[in-house]
Formats: sequence, C-alpha cells, structure tokens
Amino acid sequence: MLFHSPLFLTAFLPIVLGLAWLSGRRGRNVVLLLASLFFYAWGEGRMVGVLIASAGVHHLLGLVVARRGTWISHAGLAAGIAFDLGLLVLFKYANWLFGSTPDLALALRPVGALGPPIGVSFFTFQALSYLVDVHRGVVPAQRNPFKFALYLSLFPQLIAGPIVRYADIATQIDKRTVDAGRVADGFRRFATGLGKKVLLAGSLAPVADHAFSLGAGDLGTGLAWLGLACYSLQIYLDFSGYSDMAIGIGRMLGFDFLENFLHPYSSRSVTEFWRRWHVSLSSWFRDYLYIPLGGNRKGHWRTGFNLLAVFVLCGLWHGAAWTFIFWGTWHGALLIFERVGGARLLARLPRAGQHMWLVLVVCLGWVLFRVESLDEALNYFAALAGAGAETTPWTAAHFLNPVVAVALIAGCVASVPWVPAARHGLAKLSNPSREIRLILVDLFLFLVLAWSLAEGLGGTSTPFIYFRF
Amino acid sequence: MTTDEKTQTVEIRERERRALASYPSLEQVEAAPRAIEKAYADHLGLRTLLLRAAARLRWSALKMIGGTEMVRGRGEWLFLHYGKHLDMWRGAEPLSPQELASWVELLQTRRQLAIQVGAKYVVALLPSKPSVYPEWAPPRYRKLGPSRRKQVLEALLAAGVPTLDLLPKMQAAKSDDQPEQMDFLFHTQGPHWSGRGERLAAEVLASHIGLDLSPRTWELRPGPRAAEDTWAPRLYLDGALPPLRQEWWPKAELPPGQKYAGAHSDSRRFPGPGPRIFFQHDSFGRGVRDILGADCELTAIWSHHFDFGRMQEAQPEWVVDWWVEWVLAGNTKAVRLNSPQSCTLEFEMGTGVGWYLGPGGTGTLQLVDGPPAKTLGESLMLEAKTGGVRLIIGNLPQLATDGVCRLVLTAPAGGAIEVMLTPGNGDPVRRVNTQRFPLTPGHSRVDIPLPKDAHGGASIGLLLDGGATPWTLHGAQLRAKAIDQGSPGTSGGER
Repeated sequence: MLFHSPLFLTAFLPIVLGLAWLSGRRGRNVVLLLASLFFYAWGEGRMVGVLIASAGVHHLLGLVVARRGTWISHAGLAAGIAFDLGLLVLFKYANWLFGSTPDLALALRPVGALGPPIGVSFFTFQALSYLVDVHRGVVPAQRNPFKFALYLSLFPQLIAGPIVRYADIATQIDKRTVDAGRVADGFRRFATGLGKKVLLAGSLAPVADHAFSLGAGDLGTGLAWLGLACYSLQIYLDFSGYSDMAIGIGRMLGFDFLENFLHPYSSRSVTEFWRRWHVSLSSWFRDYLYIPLGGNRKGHWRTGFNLLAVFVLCGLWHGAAWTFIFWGTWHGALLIFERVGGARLLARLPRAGQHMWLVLVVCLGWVLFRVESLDEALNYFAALAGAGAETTPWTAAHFLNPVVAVALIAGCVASVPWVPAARHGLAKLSNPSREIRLILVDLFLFLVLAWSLAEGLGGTSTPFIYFRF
Repeated sequence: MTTDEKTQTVEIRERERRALASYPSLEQVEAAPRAIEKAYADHLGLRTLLLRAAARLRWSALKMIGGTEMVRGRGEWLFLHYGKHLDMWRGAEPLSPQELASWVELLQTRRQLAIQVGAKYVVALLPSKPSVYPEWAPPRYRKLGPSRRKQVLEALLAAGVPTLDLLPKMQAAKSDDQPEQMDFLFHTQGPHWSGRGERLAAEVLASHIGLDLSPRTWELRPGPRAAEDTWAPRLYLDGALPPLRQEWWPKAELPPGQKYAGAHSDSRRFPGPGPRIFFQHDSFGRGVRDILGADCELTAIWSHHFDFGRMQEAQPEWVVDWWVEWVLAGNTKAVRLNSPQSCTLEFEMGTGVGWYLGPGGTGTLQLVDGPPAKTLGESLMLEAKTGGVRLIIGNLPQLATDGVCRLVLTAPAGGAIEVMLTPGNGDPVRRVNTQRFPLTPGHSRVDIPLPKDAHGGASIGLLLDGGATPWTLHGAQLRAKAIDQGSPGTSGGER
C-alpha cells in the first residue's frame, strides 16, 4: 500500500489514526503494531514473516547484548551483525555476488525469485543500530518483544525511512502525547510530502525516464540536461516527500522522527550536502562505520580510506550494482577532494559559484545512480558533454510541456529553505492575520491532498524510488 | 491429497455434479490486496468529482490533459497518441528496414491469398487526424520526416502491392470545412472521421473498385458517432469542451446488415445487389461499411486478424484491407499466428484473440518456408529454434475459468522446456511461476495451466525456454471460457 494510494489516504490512515487516538496508552501500541504488520503484509504478503523473524531475533539478541562487558554480549552483537548481513546478502545481493557460480545461484534461485522484501535495507539498519546502541550502553535493551516489534515495524517509516534509531523513540513508545496542534502540524507535513511526491516528482518522472531510456544515437545534449534536471529534482522530491509523509504521520500518532532532508541542494559543498541529504542514513554510516573505522583521527591517508570505504558501502546499500558502487565512489572522492584542499578553493568562489559547484557534481553523480549499466552512464555523460545525437526527434523542447515546466520551477522552490523562513515570518505576524494565513495554507494543502488523491484515482502516480532499496 | 479429500472429491462430483471447490493459492491470496485496492479506487464515492476537478484544473491552468493516450492539440483539438501514434506520424519513430520488410511481406501474403480465391486486392492505410490536419496538431510534435504510413505505402508501391491513398482527396476536401460549425473531416475531440469524412472515404473506395453508390441526400443533423467518438467524457472534460451537435448524415437510414455469427463482435454481412467485397477493417471502416453495404454484397470483418476461411467462403471479387495508419504501431517484430484453423475456429475463446510469437532472449525465429497459402492454412506456422521465445496471447478477454494453453512441439532429443507465465505483453515480472515440462523425443504436447488471474491487461505472455534443447513449436491452442467477448473499441485497442 503506497502512501498516496486512495485506500491508504481515505481508509487505512484515517482508521488507524482514529483507533490509535481512541485507544488507551497500551491499546494504541497494540493498534499500531497490528496496523504496521497489516500494512507490510498487505504489500509484501509472506515477506512479513521476514520482518517478524527479524524483530524476534533482534529482540532476543538485544537481551543478550545488554549483558555488557561479557563475552556473550560481544558474541550476541557479532551474531546480530552476521544475521543482518546474511539477510541482506540473501535477499538483495545473492544474485549479484553469486551469479557467476551456477550451482550457488541455482540453490538461491527460490529466494531470488521472491525478490527482496520491501524496505529490507531500512529495517535491517534500524535493527543493527539498536544492537550496537545497546552494546555501547546508549540505550537499555527493550524487554517487551511487542514494543520492540513496534519499533522495528512502525508503518510510517517502515519501508523507506527515515532510519529511526531506537534511542530516539524509546521513550515515545511508552509515553507520547497527541494534541490538536500536533495533529494539524502532522497533517500539514503529510500533505506537503504528498504534493511533493505525487504532483511534482510524478510530473518530472516521465521526462527523466524517457531521457535515461534513450540510446546514444537518440539522446541529444539538451534532453540529457533536461532529463538530469528532472531526475535530480524527482529523486529529491520523491524521497523527501516520503520522509515528510512519514514524519507527518508520526507526528499525528505522537512520534517525533528526526528530519531526514534539510534542503540538501542549498548546500555549498559536498560535505555540507551529506549533512543534509538522507540524514538518517549518512549519520548511520558516520556513527556505526566511519567513526569505528577511525574517522579522521588517524591521519590523512586513513581518513581518505575511511571516507571512500563508507561511501562505497553507502552506494552498495542502495543496490547490488556497479553503478551504485561508482556513485558512492564519486561522492567519496569528492569528499576527499574537499578535505585535501578543495574546500579552501571552493571558499574563494562567490556563494552562487559554490552552490553551482555542489548542484553540478551532485547531479552528475545522479547519472551513475539512475543508469542500469556503466555503458549507459558513459553514453549519458557524452551527451551531457555535447557529444550527444545531433539530429534526434527527442529534443528538450518536445518534453518541456507546461506541466513539466511548472513542476521544475516548483521543485526548485521546494528545494530551498523558504518554508522555515515563511514560518518564522508567520510567527511574527499579529494574531488575526496569522490565523487567516494559516487557514489559507491549510486550504491550499487540502487542495494538494485532493489533487494528489485524484492522481492516485486516475492511476497516473508512480511508486516511490526508494522502495526498491 | 488425503483419502478423506479424495472421498470428498468423489462425493461432490457424484452427488452435486460439480468439481470440489479449491482453496485459493498463496499467490492468489497475495494478489488479493492489489485487486482490492483497484476495486476500492473505482468505488470511492468522490472519484468522479475529484477526477473531474483535477482534469479541469489541468486543462484550464496548464493547457494539458492527463495520461498518455490523448494529447491536446491547438485550440480544443484532441489527438490520439497512445504513447506513440503522433511520433509515428511526425517521423520520430520510423520503421526499421526489417520492420518495413515484415509489413510488406505480410501484405504481399494477403494479396496472394486474395489472388488465390480469384479476387482483386487493395490495401488502404488510412491517414489519421494529424496527417490530414497537421495545422491543429500539438506544436511540440514537430514534423521531422515521413510517417510510417508513407514509408509503407512507398514500399508497397515498389513491391507492386496495390494501394489506395486517401490523403490527397482528404486534403482537397478540407476546403469544404466549416470551422464555425465544427464541421471537419474528423471529430475535433475524437480520433475518427466525422460523417462527412466517412462519406468521402466511402466514395473514394467505391470509385477505386468501380462500385456505383446509390444517390443519397445528406443533411446536417445530430449524429450518433460524435458522441461515441469524443474523448471528453473519458478525460473527465465533458462540459469543459463544446459538444458536437450536428454532422452530415444520409437522410435515409442505411441498412444495418446482419451480424456475422461467431465472428468479431461487430463484423457484418450485407446481402446487397452489387459485387462481392471482402472488407477487412478497423474502427475506421464502420461507417464506410454501412455506406457501401447498401450497394454491394459485403462481408465486413472488423479485425486485424486475417481470416482465410471466411474469405474463401465469401468468394469475393475484391478483397480490401482498410486500416488506419495506427496499425503500423503494432509489434511488427512479432509475427502473427493467425490462421483461421489455429486461431479463429479452434479457440474456444472465440474470435478476436490474437497470437503473437516473437523473439525473447537469445532465440531465433524463422518463418517456415513454403507457399503462403499453405503456411497460413496449416497449424504449422513458425519455427522457433532453441533458446527463448515469447508467445503472447493478445486481445484476450477476462477469463471466467482457469484455462489451458496447449503447445504442440517437437524436440528430437527430448529434454525439457521451461515456461514462465507473464501478464501483459510478455515482460517478465516478479514472482511468477516458472514451470518445467519434460519433452519426449519427437512430438510432445505440453498443457500449460492458465490461472484465470494470470490475465494482465488484455494478454497473457508465455516465455518459452528450452535452454540447450532444440525444439520447434508447431501450434498452440487456448482452452478457456471468457467472461466477456469484449468490444473492438477503436483501432487503437486492436493493436
């Protein structure tokens, strides 16, 4: 069930919210757990078993790991890591890793045919962070298996993040408050995310899809740049829209999930970009991989190696393909470049130049992220560099219709941090005009909700990009 | 199956004379949510209101319409696109030399068949709306080169296949258009001809085959076709676009003809006085058929699937293939398994079901050598040599029961064949069952169960892979019951 499907918007979400609000303190956790498992089973069928098994295993291991300072705690953590890596390898990387070993590939074929459970990378990383945090003594182990299952399966962020750490919501599982203000705020956030995903990302997707589907002989330079612009905005609007919806639903249920996107395209360096893009993933890699590897404390060479290793794995996290590895390597290399003096060079540029640098290198990286093979990437880069097809029917002008133009402009507007500024300005206003403007904002968001629902009813909306990770 | 279950099976079969109901499979249970979501979306109370509001907002604020089937042209003109038609017309998607040769070969074959029954043959690849009215086409769709239609017409001319090109006459007739009354040769909001366009087309064809049409009085009056043809309601834009109220129709009613029993849903016979004509057409032939039907003995088959048996039965003097240029959007790489024996008559599904066999993966496909008549008249149609091939059962109505697809194969060395069922056009999807069927040396019959929910869109695809086993496909049969034989709709739906 997608967040923008009519069934979710008009039945599942209102019913779950209603039941959760009407239930008592314990009851609402039961409601949420059952709703979350139902939500996952609805879309993934028997794969819900993987989620339940993962919750069970990690709950037990958490209890073991909580005996800190003992060998059994270390063994429990090692077992947990092995379990999680095994899960990822089995469902996500087996075909890629063992495709050239026919016997093994044949043996794993039934699993491959099932495909990876949606969101496996997200809930596996959540579970892993829980074990590590318990091992480090950051949080106590959760003794109640149902509460732990609720943490792992919480439906708003279950299938595409943000990767919520147990430490961030441990107290909220037991005690959380819901009031009209939070519900209204959550609704606004949800509707904003829905509009970003359905109306903007959905309008840009066909252009990006077309540009990236063309062969070298058909792709001209103009369309290559338009396609890249559309994809760069699409992936941001799609993923940050999902995060907005997850945060919004969480707020309506009394949870506070951490922000996952902090207007990353407004950054002025790649280092800053990774503090703003998919924050829950980048901070996960920082805390559980980069820092344990030594971070930047062991000299320049080791720091460079650590950065590269982290970003190669970050690429691999997104999927089993060389293109993702190259995408991760690209970002790792850029970070090293900034660390060894590039940042000082960039600082000499005017602010606009720094922004342009960031947008350019990040967008070029999206080519690697979007293509299916390295050949395709080379063709696409050639087209971007002006060596594309000279005569092609697929010009940028052909695709730049009013809907795409509006979505591009609105997407750019949504990529800069004007909303916090507007909120700040709104707060300064006197009461009557503030309330009038809030009503206007709410009316606008209702319109966005209705239009998005209509798009879902018309069958024109597309699935989330990050579902496949 | 346990003994108890066996007893139960026998009990129910003998007492109640029906099969034991089976539990749904896990796959069926897992497929249920998607079906429920679709049904829920269709039943949602505010659906019409929301879709209408969104369509109007898009139309008025962004000058666009939703979906990819139709594209808004200049003014309030709508053009059928289906993701490809306008690109075919503007020369952005020309036929490759192989595809062109394949079309020419197909039409040459049809001409040969016509000659065999002593008939003259002509093919008319009809110009679609943007061909006749490029000035109203969407400005983004710039004309770049010759359309597929022009490509094929030129190739047919070179191959000596008789053609009829309506475009010059239609372009000349545009001078009679009355824009203030929305009187054009095509409906502005639909893809088809107006009454005047149909009249012109019928007159051009009649003149070509030497048929004298009875004099008729034509008047401007409310006609049924515009309401049928307009896409405004389908796009939830009814009310936003001006309805076409009047068009040119004959004053006297045209003879309706007799529905052709067992044939495509709106195929007809007209026992007229004149020459015998076998008219194979798409939705652009309906009005023309009605006009011609009063003045000749007409067998009008509404289908792209050539029916040799019916043609023989009709003993025509003329065989006319009458298709709008959209037919060239079809998968010309696929070769049609469309003999009357193997498709139209034997299939319990009824007519209109199309079989397409195309390369999938590394397999190679070759037409079996031999005279076309022999090839088309026998079930042995195509030879697929090792590797994977894709068999698509197209234009398929919803199945009422589970069915069986029987393949007749020869594999000299035996071995096995893997069959993967795929909904839609044969693209592999996640979680589909791949079944393995052993092949005995020599002839084999493989019965592939087709669950009724395997149907995706309007077709089922079978990916056949013999691996290293050499095998040859000789024929295929489908056995199932359909819920609805379906309606041909527009030619777009016939692709």
